[in-house]
Amino acid sequence: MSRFRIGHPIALLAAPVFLAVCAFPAPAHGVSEKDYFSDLPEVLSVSRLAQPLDEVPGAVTVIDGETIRRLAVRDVAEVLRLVPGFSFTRRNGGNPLVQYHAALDEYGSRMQVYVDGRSVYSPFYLGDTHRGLLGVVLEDIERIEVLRGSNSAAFGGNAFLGVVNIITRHSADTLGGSVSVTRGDRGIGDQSARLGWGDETASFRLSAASQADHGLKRVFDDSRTDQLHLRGDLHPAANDEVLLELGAMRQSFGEGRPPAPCLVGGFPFICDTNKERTNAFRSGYLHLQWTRMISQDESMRFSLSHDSEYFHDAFLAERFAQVPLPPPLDYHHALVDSGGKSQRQSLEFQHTRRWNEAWRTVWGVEARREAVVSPPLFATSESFSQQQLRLFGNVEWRPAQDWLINAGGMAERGRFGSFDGHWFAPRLAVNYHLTPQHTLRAAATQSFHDPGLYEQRADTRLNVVPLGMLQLVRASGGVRPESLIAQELGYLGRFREFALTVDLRLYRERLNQRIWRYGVDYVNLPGPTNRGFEYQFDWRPFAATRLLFAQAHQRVIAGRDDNNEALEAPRRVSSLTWLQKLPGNLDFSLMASETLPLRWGGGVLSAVRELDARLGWHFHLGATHGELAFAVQLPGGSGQQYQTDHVFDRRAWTTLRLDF
Amino acid sequence: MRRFFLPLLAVLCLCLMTYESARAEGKIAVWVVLPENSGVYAATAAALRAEVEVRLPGRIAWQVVRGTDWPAAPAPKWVVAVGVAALQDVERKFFAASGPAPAVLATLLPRQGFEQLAASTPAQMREGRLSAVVLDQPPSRQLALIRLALPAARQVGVLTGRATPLPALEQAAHEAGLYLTAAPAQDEMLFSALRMVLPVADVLLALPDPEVFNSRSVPPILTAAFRRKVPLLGFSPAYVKAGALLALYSTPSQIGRQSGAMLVAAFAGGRLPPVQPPREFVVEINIDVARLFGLRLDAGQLSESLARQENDAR
Repeated sequence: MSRFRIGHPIALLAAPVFLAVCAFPAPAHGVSEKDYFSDLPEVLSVSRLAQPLDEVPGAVTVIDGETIRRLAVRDVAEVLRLVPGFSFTRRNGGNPLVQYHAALDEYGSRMQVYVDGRSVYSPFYLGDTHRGLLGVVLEDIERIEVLRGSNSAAFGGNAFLGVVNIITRHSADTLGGSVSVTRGDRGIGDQSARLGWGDETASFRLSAASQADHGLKRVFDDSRTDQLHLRGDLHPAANDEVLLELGAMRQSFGEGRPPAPCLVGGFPFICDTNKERTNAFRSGYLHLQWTRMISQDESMRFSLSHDSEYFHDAFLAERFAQVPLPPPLDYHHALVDSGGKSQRQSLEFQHTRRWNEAWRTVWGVEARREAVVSPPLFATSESFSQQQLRLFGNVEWRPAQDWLINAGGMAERGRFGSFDGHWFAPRLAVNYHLTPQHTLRAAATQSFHDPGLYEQRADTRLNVVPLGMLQLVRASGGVRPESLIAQELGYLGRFREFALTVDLRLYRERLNQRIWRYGVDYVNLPGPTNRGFEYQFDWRPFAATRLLFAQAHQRVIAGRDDNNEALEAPRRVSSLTWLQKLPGNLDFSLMASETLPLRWGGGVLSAVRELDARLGWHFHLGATHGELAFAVQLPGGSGQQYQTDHVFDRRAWTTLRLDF
Repeated sequence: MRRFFLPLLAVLCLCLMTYESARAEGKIAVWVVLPENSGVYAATAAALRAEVEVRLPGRIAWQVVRGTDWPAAPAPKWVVAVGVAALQDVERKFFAASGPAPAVLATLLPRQGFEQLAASTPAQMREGRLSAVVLDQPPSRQLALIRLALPAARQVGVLTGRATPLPALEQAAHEAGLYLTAAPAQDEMLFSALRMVLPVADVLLALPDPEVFNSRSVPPILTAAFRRKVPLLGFSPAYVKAGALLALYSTPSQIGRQSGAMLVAAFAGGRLPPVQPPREFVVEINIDVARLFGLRLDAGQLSESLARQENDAR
């Protein structure tokens, strides 16, 4: 992507009158030949247009908003099961997780997630994207573009394994009001409201949503998420477009386990060291993006964003002796705290130009600052920050009609604490159109993943009374960025006569200098090699029927003598989705997914199979459009989640939505 | 010798002048009225003149009239008015006055503009002394192009104004097996019309009506349509440049040639044939937009297929 956009551009221009109205004695309200021969402002300029899928230098899965709204899902992570190579699970009820090419990415910390071009990657603790994925209202999503495979060359270190681009609907497409209420078992109680106003020249949307449930059975994991988002799309001048977004999210979620017997120094104790408690997370953001179309072939974009996060997770861990021991040895306690705050500011400039039919360039620069404050994790109230400066560019060359070559890369300079380093992530991709409908692609890239602030500066201690201070983590700061060398071959075919699209990808990913916790420090160790192939079929056999099939096969060759590493990835992940429109304004969907055994959360999970179904009925009450939907997940039973004793049971809910 | 030379030269000159005068009297006088002698008007006039000269070489005495700069010579039998303003000027000059008016061929103007002006002189129309080559592509041709370029499209969205000739389009859509979704979009109704039409339309057909499609409204229309993945079929090359998927139109040269042929037919028959839509046309495609819609369209092929279909239908 040369930071490409797929599908269609973010909204464009609304021009004032460019042409002086001629003093022309035409009949009133009449048409004249001027209508046929006048110039018009160039609206969809080449520089603003996105690359079509068969010219993107990588594999891409696009999930449109309508598909998302027809599935039996309540968050984005569940939707990503449609993407080949993505595994989904729930750490508990409040923490849905997705990972791409599992062995490398247990918590989504090695992939990047953007919402309307704003990174929602959290710099806190070990870095993660799963909470960012919760920070968007499903109803607001226009589409999700998933760039499968390494993409540091365009998006920097966090896009080590892939990029999830969530694009929300243009506010001019969501004018009017909408409310929805969901009620179901396991405490499911969601509601959302949306108000949109304005027109194509200046439009706004205010969305509010709240989501709650009791999570998994027998697990203390009730969760509740409230969020508020404002989006504005403005066109202050003919060639200018401004996107303004601000919002906030608040989440509370249960964590912990009930007290359990344990042995301490050979004596039986009752341990309550992961106490059942309710944690809190709050975040807020501001995002401004200004795009100027300089000419038909040239545009530039400035973006500015500020994100802040607050975590609260503090409790008293306790151990009670079950045999008589002299005090104070019969009772141990420690204050466990992993809370803190983080902030990120980013300023970016990007310039796109088409020089002629054969050449197009994109280049840009981004300055980014991330800061974390967490006295319990860093043993200081000091704020740690890291600055990154990125210069990226991509040249798109079309030497012949059927050939397209993308060459680009990103140079990044990172300065954090004692580490002051720089790296360059290059990429070369060649797309060849066998015919206009069939494209082959070969690509090679090298990516880097920076260590997070915690991995460089952690100083986490636990004062266990009366035993004394325990040093849990003491990062020496010697950890270096990970690197990944990836090669892939791809095929994208459109069989128009069968209404079928096929995407195949064969890849090899070699991870070097994998960051591991070793003792109390973080170090670099040899990483694994992933080899696999994945494919997706999108078939519309009939106008009212759509079938989506995604499957990924993967082998992990451990980089060192550690069998666990080879088990970190499932050998196969599949999903089959059936979307069907029925007579009587009904539509229904069925999604079956399967993940073969893998190591996750400290144990080996057995194969996870899920089946979700949804039936929706659309109706009209005057000018109001409504939908009444019934959804059920796992109608046939239960499935293992993340840890072997975490079980996800059948759950069902009903949603009523009114758009007016 | 010299004594005879000068009188002889004078006589010769006199003879030549007499001959030329006699020859000119045998010519057909045609006035071509243009609002300005440049751009599309000049291109139309040049093509018209070239077409007539090929068929009737040297038989026409051309007189180009710019604006209302009427020549002192007596009114000709034939006048060509290029554009709406020229037709208005010609009407004021000849039809309002008493006495015999010339036959007027209007060209390079929209059908509606022509019909509005012709409504005041129905007799001229009836007598074959007023006719036109209009710019409007026949609805059947526009819809046939949609069927060729976008075979899966069924719903054709139309934003209408007070000048939109909807009934003819409805009839053509019915015959082509397509469905029309139309919404009034003049004045402040554009955005509500887009909200009504775009969710159901497979393609948006732009029709010349300055109340709806103008330089102010086209950007938001194109933007909104593109966001909804609805391609737009425009009626001029400017639309393709602005970001429409494709456009169907006739060039001034094509209109000029057709007008020339019509004029020659009128000379032969003594009266003008009925109003004609453009015979020749151009299909133009925005390759970048087509690529984004996942389409590989060839403008030449589409144009040929469309012309072949029309020939077969005849």
